[in-house]
Amino acid sequence: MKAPKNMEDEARKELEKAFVEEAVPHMDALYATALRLTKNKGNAEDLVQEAMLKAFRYFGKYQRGTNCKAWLFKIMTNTFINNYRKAKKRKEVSIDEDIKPLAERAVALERDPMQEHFGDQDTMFFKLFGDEVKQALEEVPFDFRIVVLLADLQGFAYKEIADIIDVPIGTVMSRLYRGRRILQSKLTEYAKEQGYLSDRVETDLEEKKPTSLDDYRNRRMNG
Amino acid sequence: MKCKDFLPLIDTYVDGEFDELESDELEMHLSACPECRKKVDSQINWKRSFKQCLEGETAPVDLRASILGQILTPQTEQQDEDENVLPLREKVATKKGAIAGLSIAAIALLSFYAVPKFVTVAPAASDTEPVVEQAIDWHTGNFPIEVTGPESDRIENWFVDKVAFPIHLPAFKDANLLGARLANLKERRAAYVAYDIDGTRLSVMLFNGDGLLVDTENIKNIKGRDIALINQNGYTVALLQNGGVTYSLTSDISEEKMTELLSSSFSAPE
Ligand SMILES: [Zn+2]
Repeated sequence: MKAPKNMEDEARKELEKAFVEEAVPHMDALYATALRLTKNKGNAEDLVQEAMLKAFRYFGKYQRGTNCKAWLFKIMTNTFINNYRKAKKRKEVSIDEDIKPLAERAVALERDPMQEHFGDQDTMFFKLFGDEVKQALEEVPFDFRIVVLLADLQGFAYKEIADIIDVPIGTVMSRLYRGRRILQSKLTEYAKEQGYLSDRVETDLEEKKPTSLDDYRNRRMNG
Repeated sequence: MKCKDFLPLIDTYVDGEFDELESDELEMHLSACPECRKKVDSQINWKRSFKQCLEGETAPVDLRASILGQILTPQTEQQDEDENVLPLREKVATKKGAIAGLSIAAIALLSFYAVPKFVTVAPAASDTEPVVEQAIDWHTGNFPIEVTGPESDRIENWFVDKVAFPIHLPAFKDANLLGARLANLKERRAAYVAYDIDGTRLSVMLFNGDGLLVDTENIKNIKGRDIALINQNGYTVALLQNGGVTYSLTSDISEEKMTELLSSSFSAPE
């Protein structure tokens, strides 16, 4: 076995080894999420590649043994958002509503499909509409889609999601709540179109919001 | 707690964000309220189905190879001078049939007599390391395939006039044989064969392992066969001998998974 030529080589090898051990195992998770962010395979591959190479460049700054998965997702999410902005600048028109400010795209929810539990039928959506779930997800605006993916596909905790997308936990909660319901109402529409659900579904027009953890805790303290 | 207080907390409860005390309070309501229970179950169901529907997408092997190829330093010293050896980053398929070696008749004889007889990987020194390193290089480098799968016959025949040892490809459960190419390990000509197992790449190299020594502490006996298992740079590399040919298997799977793979694909020696 050859001795490393110099300290630099040795340090580089160490870094490569640590990266392969800590970061590379998350590549599949990044890819599965990138597919749903970019909406096609080629772009997903480009995004993962760009994020992984960036992560390697900054890997010296990453503190070993901390939350590598969250760190990688933060890099990938930022990369995606930056690329979107660049694309927007180039075209001078908005590509889709993903890049509109949140306030301009309040999604009107007629009812809350989650509150009209369908019993055994809710797994039906996924069995019948594997591709439709993906398609419906693509129609969910980015800010909501990303939190649903991070929470429900990747299993990140609210605090981790807040760190990844740089927003307060309360914002994570309301986007998650809304994102899930936008997706569910889209799937309900599919189910009705396909005749799997009757048109008559009780509507619950009252706009429900998740209770913030702080509010809940305050009420507990005082009540 | 009433239903109207509980309902807005469903997501947070199902996401497991409440602490133990808080959850206890919510569960007290749940145990007394089948309506809310049903909604919680529905939400749990939803989360699980959503995940099942979208997970299982694995990064394509090419993407993986491309990323690792750009990150990992290749081990190219010495090799480029040897004209019988392929440069690691060579992009084009090599000269076919230009390899000096045994005649086809001699190879046929060899493969006929080289019945799968077990040869212990000689225990002792530390000469394996360059082989292991290079096996990983071949595994991670994004080298073009010269002959494509999935038929193993086609690949075995392709190697007949290219290497001086018989090529018997192991059959792995649920593996997709992607293809093969000529390679080299420690200046020895080798056959490089790529498999895809559930989105994970497995590289198998066949070569003449005469004189290859393996550290005894790396050797495990799996189903009566001595196999060297080495972990390096996050990869698991297995070395074994079968029918007088040395096999290296490289993948980023765990040692246990590799063991499982080996015991299912290589039958116990006579
Ligand atoms: Zn209730």
